[in-house]
Amino acid sequence: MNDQILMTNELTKKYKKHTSVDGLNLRIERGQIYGFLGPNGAGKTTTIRMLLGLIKPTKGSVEIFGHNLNKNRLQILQRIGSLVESPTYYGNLTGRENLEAVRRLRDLPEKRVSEVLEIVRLTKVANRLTKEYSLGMKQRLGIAVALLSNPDLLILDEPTNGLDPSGIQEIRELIKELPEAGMSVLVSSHLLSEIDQMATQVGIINNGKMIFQDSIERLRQKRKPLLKVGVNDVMKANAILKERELKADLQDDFLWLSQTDPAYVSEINSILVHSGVSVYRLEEVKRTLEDIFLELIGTEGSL
Amino acid sequence: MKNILWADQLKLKRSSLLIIVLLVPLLILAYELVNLTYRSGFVEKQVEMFGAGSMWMYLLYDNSLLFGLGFPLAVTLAASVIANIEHQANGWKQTLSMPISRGKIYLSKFIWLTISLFLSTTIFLIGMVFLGKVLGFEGDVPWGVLIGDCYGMLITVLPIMAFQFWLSMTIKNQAFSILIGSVSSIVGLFLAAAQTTRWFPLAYPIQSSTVILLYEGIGYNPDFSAFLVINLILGIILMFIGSKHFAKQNVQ
Ligand SMILES: Nc1ncnc2c1ncn2[C@@H]1O[C@H](COP(=O)(O)OP(=O)(O)OP(=O)(O)O)[C@@H](O)[C@H]1O
Ligand SMILES: [Mg+2]
Repeated sequence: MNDQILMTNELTKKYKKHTSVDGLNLRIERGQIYGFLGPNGAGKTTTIRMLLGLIKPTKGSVEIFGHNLNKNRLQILQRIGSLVESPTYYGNLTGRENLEAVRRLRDLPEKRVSEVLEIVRLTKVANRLTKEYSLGMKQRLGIAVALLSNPDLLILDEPTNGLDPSGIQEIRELIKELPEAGMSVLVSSHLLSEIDQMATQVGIINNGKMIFQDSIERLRQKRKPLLKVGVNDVMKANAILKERELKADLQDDFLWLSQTDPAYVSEINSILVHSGVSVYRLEEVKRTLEDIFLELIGTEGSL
Repeated sequence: MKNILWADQLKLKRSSLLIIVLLVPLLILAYELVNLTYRSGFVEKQVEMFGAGSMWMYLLYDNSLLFGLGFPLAVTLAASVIANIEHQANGWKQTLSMPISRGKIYLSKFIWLTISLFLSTTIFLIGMVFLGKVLGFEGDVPWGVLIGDCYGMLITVLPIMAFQFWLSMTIKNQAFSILIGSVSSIVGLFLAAAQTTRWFPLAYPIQSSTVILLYEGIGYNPDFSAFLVINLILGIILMFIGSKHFAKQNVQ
């Protein structure tokens, strides 16, 4: 299945001298749940704004449903539902009226309003003014607006922001079911664990640059455990291993190797011991996705 | 376009637009009521001095200054309320990512501004007729001059409307557009006073009365039709430029 639904070409946005998005080549295929991951200020929202035609790229182009966004903006937007960062709500209107306003704008069937209210579980508070809504309720309203038109492509920027754990779970389950109806989803987050639980495809962005884009499985493969070796003389041990062309990393006074099968571990042990290095620890260390994420984005990401 | 207008109508629900639209005509009418009752002696003297043909003419002349100052203020505030609904809702990013041209979104809100100001002038018209009847003005109701005075204002104010609307739509902080609107309303008063500057758009509302004080007394305004034509054309041009600029803006 190579059915490209969204594609950006060297997409770039500069604000004065600062480059917020730098040569992004996003690829999303039909039916994928694309997790768009990056720390605060990485450029996720800026990218999404460009995908919706809200801001003009400094350079590069966007192609959605096989059409150029610049030339066919309205035609493309017809098939997109979106939620960008903090949700929109007209405080002087009730939740239902908020949806009704969007329904009128998009000329959608009336029954959709009740349907989406049910989906995001706002039916009970639908007739209350939205200025009295909690943050989580406003967020749900934003998701309801995005779903209203039954779009082919759903773009959600941090949809679980402000939701409680059960709300997050609900939205996650909701998103996971969407591709069955033929929808494709782009969902951004700064939490890998969240993306891990729903995405089929992952794009990681840092400082405006794409540093990883592949299936979630490929990301998980990077999670293979490491062998942590504790010895009395790390330098010497490292040199010995290097002679035998065994690659080891030096970190925190331990040697780190990338294989953990028993035969390999025994061999390493025997090599080191026979060379006169005393080995006091051989440990298999499991890495979390967070570790990999942090490794990928390096230390700059903690800014 | 009908859909967009209905959506915008819903968004205006429970807003303070109606209050603002009613406030200016009602305040002026209240002033005139006090003026014509408690100060009736003074008014009679003035009517004689200015050679006003009837009390109707006097009323139109007397309120033209207040209306000319007050109506642009109503325009400023109404434009601000309409635009601020989107600003406050954080709504531009949602509204402008709908499959609707930005020009139409701009136009729809402008149409609501026009409708609400039409309402305002209509209230003023009805109020003046009501006032005249209650106070027993002599002679027939001069519908032509009264209607011309009220709806003429709607046309004369078009350039200011287009400009204030554009300001409020493009700049989030409404204190800014309201300040500009208030200052320019007062500046208009001074511009209108001098022969050379009275053709500046800001000076129009003050002079856009069907009835003015001429050399020989209160009479019909000879420049009125020129004002209407100039302002109609200028208003449409400004509205068009504003909408083009709005359509190109980046949306935060
Ligand atoms: N209008 C703007 N003017 C100048 N700089 C901007 C503007 N909008 C965004 N930026 C900058 O662009 C960078 C990316 O911002 P963006 O909002 O896209 O990040 P993000 O990935 O969505 O972060 P977060 O997880 O915090 O939402 C930031 O450094 C930000 O300061
Ligand atoms: Mg963001």
